[in-house]
Amino acid sequence: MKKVKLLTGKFSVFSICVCTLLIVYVLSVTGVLFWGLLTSLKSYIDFGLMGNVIGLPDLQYSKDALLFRNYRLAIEYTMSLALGNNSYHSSIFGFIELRPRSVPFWEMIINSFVYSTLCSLAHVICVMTVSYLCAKFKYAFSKILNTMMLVVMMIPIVGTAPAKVTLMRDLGLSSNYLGMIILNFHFTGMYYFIFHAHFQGMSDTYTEAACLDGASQVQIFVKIIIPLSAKMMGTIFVLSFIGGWNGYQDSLLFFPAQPTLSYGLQRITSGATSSIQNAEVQSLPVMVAACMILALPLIVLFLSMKDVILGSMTMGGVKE
Amino acid sequence: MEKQAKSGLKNLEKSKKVFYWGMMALPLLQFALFYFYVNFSSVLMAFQKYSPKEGELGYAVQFVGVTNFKTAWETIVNSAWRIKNSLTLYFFQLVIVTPLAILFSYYIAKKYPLSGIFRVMLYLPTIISSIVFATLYRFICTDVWMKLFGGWKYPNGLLAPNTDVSVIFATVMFYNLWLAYGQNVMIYTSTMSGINQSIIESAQLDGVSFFQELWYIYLPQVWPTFTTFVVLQMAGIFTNQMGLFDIFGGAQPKEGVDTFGFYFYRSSLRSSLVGDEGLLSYSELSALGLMFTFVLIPLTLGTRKLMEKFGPSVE
Repeated sequence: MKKVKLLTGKFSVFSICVCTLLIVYVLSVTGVLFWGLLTSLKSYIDFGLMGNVIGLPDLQYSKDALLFRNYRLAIEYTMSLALGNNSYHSSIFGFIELRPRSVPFWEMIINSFVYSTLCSLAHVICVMTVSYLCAKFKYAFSKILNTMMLVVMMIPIVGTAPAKVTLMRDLGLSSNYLGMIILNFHFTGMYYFIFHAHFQGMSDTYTEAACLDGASQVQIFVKIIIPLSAKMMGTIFVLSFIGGWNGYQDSLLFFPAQPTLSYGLQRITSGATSSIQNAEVQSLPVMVAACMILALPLIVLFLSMKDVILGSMTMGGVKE
Repeated sequence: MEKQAKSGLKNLEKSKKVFYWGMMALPLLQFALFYFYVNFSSVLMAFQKYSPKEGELGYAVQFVGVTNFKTAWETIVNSAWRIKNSLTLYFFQLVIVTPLAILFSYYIAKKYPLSGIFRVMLYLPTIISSIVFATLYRFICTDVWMKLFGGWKYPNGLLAPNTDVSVIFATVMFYNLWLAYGQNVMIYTSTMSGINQSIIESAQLDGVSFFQELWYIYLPQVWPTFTTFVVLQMAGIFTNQMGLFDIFGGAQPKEGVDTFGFYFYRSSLRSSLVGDEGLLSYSELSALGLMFTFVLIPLTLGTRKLMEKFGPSVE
């Protein structure tokens, strides 16, 4: 009986071992973030010269740092960098030349906000529409498209970035808002299967009743399907928005003329050369403060919306 | 009456088709352009060479047969260690991250003590930008290490250019394995939460242990999801950048610490149609990508077939 108790239930040997592993993991993640917060509140004298790498900020040297001086310096540093690449290419609108330039902090925030919103909206609308059509309209093409989505996900196509960059430039879609919408108006990816499962599980009763009342397909879609899927759409939008806000590689590749906040801060943390030649501005606590500028708003957003974001999103088995 | 009903049904079917194709048109156009055309263009590019036109702006294009593939093959042979690094990462993801993700998901799905906090904290790294964790991790492995342990070993930190390549690689590998759980655990947990409670209750009445319940009940239920993740990770072997851009800020890491995924991205960013010094041109990159694609397609499809055939069944 004792042996059975040790092996079953929430206080079994196995569950205690897994719990211990999880506690270690959680401590490692929170530990690193807490170290980042503490470091961002230390002056470069306290951290660099006095060697206070893991302790609390020393009040003697970090008085100004505790008033978020490093955060102000991080913003100044970001604005002093030349962001973007040198490029000169032809398009259907003629030749387009791009040069690196200094970007105000407020412009980076706006770029990030616009980029994340446009990309997320475009993707959510497209993927939701196509998955609804494939789930509820039992035509042969729906089945073909469903299978194609599996194939697209499973079959790796490597090295197409050059072709995509060239296409975007040739069409004059590189570095403009229309390009952002068009590039992200796609239905490939994991969210297709999540929406597909959601629509397959949705009862046909509502749509059949609406049909009997004489509603058109557009009215059914707008007045019934969209409201019923609002929560799912909201969750996917938030997740896509966070991805767009954090990511910088796609925006750097396809939209270099609209540098985002994450790109600007990535340049600081990689030690990019600035017009401000100042040991304090280019010190580690300032770089860490830059990380915190990026991280803290999203931590607050996530903790306040964690139930929505972590709501049931089942992909299930992806079978033909 | 019957005629009216038939005509009504016909009109309904017609309006459904008009709606279907009307709503599908734009997404299909985007798909045709950015998937089919881009991939076709990439294949075409692999057989072409671009050179600047003399005396005017623009590029001249010429068909060069398999020349780009020869250059790509030389790149692979000269940097076979990039393939080794990619495969090493995949192997450790398979044997460490995947089993741990399933164990963590099982613990959270069973709502054992502190599962709510664990669920949030496992997903948190997915929410925060990768630059943040990579930067903090880099500073801990360099400045903090130098202060605390520099006198004992690796006086310049774990990621310094003059540190041993194997140490740098292990440090980068650890970073990847440390933050890999968020998405996996969320999806596994959702799938496990959907398991029929009566099956679990009857198994508990029979006195199954923690491990037996996981192996005989939960694992077969999540096997299709597990198969999907294994295959998707395999498909991403040669595009996985291993977080190198975030850790090293876009600069080329020390020789021996690189993957083809990072090499592709770095080259796409800095190179051009004609190529720059030391970098493959877009055409040569396309040829390289095609070669990897032809290796991965049978691997991913074969792995998926085998896992579906020999994996545990729900019955």
